[in-house]
Amino acid sequence: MVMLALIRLGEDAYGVPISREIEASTGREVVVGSVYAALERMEQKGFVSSSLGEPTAERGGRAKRYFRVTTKGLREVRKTRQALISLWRGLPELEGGRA
Amino acid sequence: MKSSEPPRLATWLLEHLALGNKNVGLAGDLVEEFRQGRPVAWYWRQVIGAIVVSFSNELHAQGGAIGFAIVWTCAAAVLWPHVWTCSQLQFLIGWGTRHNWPESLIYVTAIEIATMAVILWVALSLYLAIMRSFDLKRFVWGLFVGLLAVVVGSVSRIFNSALPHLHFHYSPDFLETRWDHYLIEWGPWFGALLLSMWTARPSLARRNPNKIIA
Repeated sequence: MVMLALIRLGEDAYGVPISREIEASTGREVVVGSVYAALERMEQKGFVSSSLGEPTAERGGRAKRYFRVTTKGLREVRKTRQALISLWRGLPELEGGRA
Repeated sequence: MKSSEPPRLATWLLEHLALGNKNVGLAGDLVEEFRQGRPVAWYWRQVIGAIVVSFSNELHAQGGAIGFAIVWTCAAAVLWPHVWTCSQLQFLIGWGTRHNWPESLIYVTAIEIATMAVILWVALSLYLAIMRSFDLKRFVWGLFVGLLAVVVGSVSRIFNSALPHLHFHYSPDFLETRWDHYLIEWGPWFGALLLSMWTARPSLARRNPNKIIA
């Protein structure tokens, strides 16, 4: 979910818009710290890279940390998508829009 | 009217208790959101959430170290009576107890600490070899910190037994028949070993220099 939010946001992906994007999709409040924890793990795996922006007054003199999906990360997203598509296929209980 | 500044205590807790190398961004994000109208309760929830998440990550990252320390402490507790009663150590202890008090106490305590230091040294070397993360400077620093904790533990035990008004009231029967005995005897050693291991091989969170919030 975090990776998809990053891809959607492109250049402007930092904590606030990423969390808002996930909140908008799920309809639930997101703990920003958990988003950062997920991003940290993905950065360690090489799926995501980050860089610090300039400190701004509206953030109390703190810099934004921008995140970007790496080529390896994109490959991983595609693989996961394929795996999910094949898992969804052939489930009669989920077809037809009825519970 | 709501202040534009988030609660200071919450920010302080975030700065000091949340481990992780992205804190510089996280703290700024929370301030930005707060200034855009998020309520104080939201800010507090985020700070507490960030602390809980960071501690759970830390625990997960250090799970191996905790497991190793538990196994090693159990092994040390089982082997200690055999080590302590070996002829070479008994010779040294005998030599120490021939002196008058308090020299005898100092010598015997020093022998005990030196024996524990050897066990600590072996444990730390083994742990770093398993983790393939040996750095001589960190190893020496870890050994020093662990040894310091062992010395503090031993000295506290002496004070506890020497000063009646500070003495915990455990009866000998209680100590000999309960697991609490092992906990009291080996708990501080476990803490010393863990501290030593954490110092010698810091977590990913503390290894990153960007951790400090601007």
